Amino acid sequence: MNDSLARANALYKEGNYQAAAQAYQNLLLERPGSADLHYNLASALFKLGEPGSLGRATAGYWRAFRINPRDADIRHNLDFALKRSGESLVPPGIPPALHVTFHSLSGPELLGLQWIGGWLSLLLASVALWRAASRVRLRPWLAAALLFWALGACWWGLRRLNDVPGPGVIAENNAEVRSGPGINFPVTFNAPEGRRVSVLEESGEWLEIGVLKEGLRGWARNKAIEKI
Amino acid sequence: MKALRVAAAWLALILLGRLASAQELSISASVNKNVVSLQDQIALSVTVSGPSASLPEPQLPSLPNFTVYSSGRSQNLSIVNGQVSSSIAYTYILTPRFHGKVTIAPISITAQGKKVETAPIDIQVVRDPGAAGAHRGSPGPASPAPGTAGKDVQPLPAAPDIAITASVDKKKVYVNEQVTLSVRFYAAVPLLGNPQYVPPSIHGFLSEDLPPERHQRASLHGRVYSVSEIRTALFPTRPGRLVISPAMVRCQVQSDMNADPFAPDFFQRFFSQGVFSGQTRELKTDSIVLQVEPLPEQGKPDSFSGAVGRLRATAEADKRQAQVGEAVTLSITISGSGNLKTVAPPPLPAIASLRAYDTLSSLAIRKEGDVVQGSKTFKTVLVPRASGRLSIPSVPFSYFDPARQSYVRAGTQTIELEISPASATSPAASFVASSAAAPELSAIGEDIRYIHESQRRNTVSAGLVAFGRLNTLHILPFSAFLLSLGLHLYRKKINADPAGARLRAALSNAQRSIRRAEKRRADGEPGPACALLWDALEDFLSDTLNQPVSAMTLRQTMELLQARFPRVPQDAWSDLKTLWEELDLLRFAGANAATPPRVAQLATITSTLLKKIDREMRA
Repeated sequence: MNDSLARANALYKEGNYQAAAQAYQNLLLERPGSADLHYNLASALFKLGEPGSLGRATAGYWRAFRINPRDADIRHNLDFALKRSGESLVPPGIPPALHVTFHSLSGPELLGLQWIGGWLSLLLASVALWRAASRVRLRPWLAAALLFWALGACWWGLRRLNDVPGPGVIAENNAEVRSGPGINFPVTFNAPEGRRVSVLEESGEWLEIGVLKEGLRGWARNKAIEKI
Repeated sequence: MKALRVAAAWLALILLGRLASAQELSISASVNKNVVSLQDQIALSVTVSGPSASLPEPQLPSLPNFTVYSSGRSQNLSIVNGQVSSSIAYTYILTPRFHGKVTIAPISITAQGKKVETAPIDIQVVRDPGAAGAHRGSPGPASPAPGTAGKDVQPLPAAPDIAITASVDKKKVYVNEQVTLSVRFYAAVPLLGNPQYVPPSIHGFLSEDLPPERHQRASLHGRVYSVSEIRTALFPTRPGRLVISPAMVRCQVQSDMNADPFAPDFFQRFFSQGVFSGQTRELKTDSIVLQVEPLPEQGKPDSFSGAVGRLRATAEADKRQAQVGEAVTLSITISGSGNLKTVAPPPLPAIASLRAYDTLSSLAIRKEGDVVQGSKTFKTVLVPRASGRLSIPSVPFSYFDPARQSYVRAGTQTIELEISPASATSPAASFVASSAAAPELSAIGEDIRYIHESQRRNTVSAGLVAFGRLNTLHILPFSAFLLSLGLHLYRKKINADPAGARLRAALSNAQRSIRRAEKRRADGEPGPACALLWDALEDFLSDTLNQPVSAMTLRQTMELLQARFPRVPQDAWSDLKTLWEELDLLRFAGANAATPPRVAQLATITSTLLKKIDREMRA
């Protein structure tokens, strides 16, 4: 694994981005949950500069961000790629510090955190019920655990509400979006490559997408969308 | 104290700087001729120069002996080593109204409370044009020679003494396209004094005077007219029907007396009004309606910013080779015919390795052939931030050509710069060492960050994720809680009825003692086994009655039991009485009184009897 990664890094350093991207892709088959590999693959695709590679790079950075949102490099590159398509990672009007704090834990980490709060709360409550003598002593710990659980659950819930359902990225330059799933429907708008979308429905080789920033929706070919 | 001295030094420097800048402002004025006839004009040039891009406008003194027209201004701007200096030349056309010696009082500018002014200029106004020609200085603005009929003089419908007409060179124009308004004044009779011209009120146009005022003679309808013409360039600012309101001339003409000169009141009239009386006449032109077409949306380039005419754009750098940090002035010049005042600076494309400073503009306008033309130059100081071969790409510029009725793209040419690294002795490179302040640092380019060469593991994160994925195991704490809650409630219920709880536990407690007794018997200890059997019976009865029976006699116990549990059969109480007596005997009879087989029998009897009584009691 380490040798393969070193070879892929060497290819990237040489400027052979096509081969580097392929190497990172192979490594991801072994470790699909590695934020670093998603990040490196996205960087290679970004540097490749071919049609469609910006969209795939943005998708890669987004995957890496969903796994490790605390990484400053991932944040920077995702924001950099999004700006190429007229978006930004931090929505307008939101203080960057608030966005960083809100996204300091990934979704699975938040779920684990709120379950730890749940376990602590329930087990302490069980002990307090079982042993009446220790009830007074356990009371502050139980309150703290309950508060921890409540905060963790609220945070996790807010993140779930804020998450894009069916996340995807436009992976085609000026992808045609039509009013229905087929070429007999007129093109209603063109979506720039790299723009984040929400995949709402699927019909054959067509996907119904909603463009998050403008609030538009329509149907695009599935090859024009890189699902996250 | 040291701080005070430093502050005083700074204050002095600032004051000196302000004083110096005020002192560097200068103004000069000149005329193209000092002797002029009543039918001629003078061009007065006033030049203001100073070390700033924004210079004050000169204040003309009162000039009652002249009719004054502004003929525009032109600005020259130069940037040398970051120092800006500029000069603005204002041109005024003066038409004399009276003959005699006239002095143009000093023309002044005021900057930061300080007034700078020109020297007065003497002008000799003569009646005879020939005398003026003898004293003519430098050639003035071209004007048709008096006495020659102008070929473009409009015909008059009739042959009045005086008349005024207004016309435009075209009735249908595009927004910001030049249209020339000509106002002509015809006079076939002598005028008393100079006529007063009131220009038309024009709303929806930007205007430019087109001096000089033309004078010519024309023969129309058998009469010879002296024709004066004033032309103005108009630029419509909005589409639609725009109206040029009437222009007006107010003049005095001489009118013959119809009265008999030998009438009795002749002398009276002669001395009071003269032989000829003056008559004031006001003449107005007709309104002119122009149809102004909007600029077409089709084919409008992104770089279009409203320029209309026939223009071209050029770019030039003051140097092609420079060092990092050395200023390079880029001049973009828009030249040609059109309303150059409204031409906006073309947007410079962003070049990461060049830092662009504010753009300054200068304007030079000419009005040759009654067409507003000239050039507008935008100067931008660029400072290279990286060495190497830099290319300033074509600056996009486009305009609308009314003659071709289409947009024209006229971007500038690409300029190549050769930038070498800053040398150690150059000012740009040494400012860090010479300045106590931190050097200014700014990005010259942006790119994605480098890849992660190794995979970093975060065990806390991995632990949290793994814990969140326990799935069904998360039922465990809920189960534990529910179990504890159930137990808690059960305990609570028990504590609420201690007698009942004791009664319900009586048999199980007795059975425990019986099992211990059997164990002792099996160990060969029949005496202690008997004692344990007695304890089992005594505890059972105490729990049943919720009071200790050790302090009671058999008779008292039996009475209480029968009273409390009347439904228990009598034979059970008899067996209980028999068992009580035997166990009571054996526990005091010593270790050898009970044989193991008998103890085993007694244990069985005790267990069976207590179960029977318990069952009957609960029934």
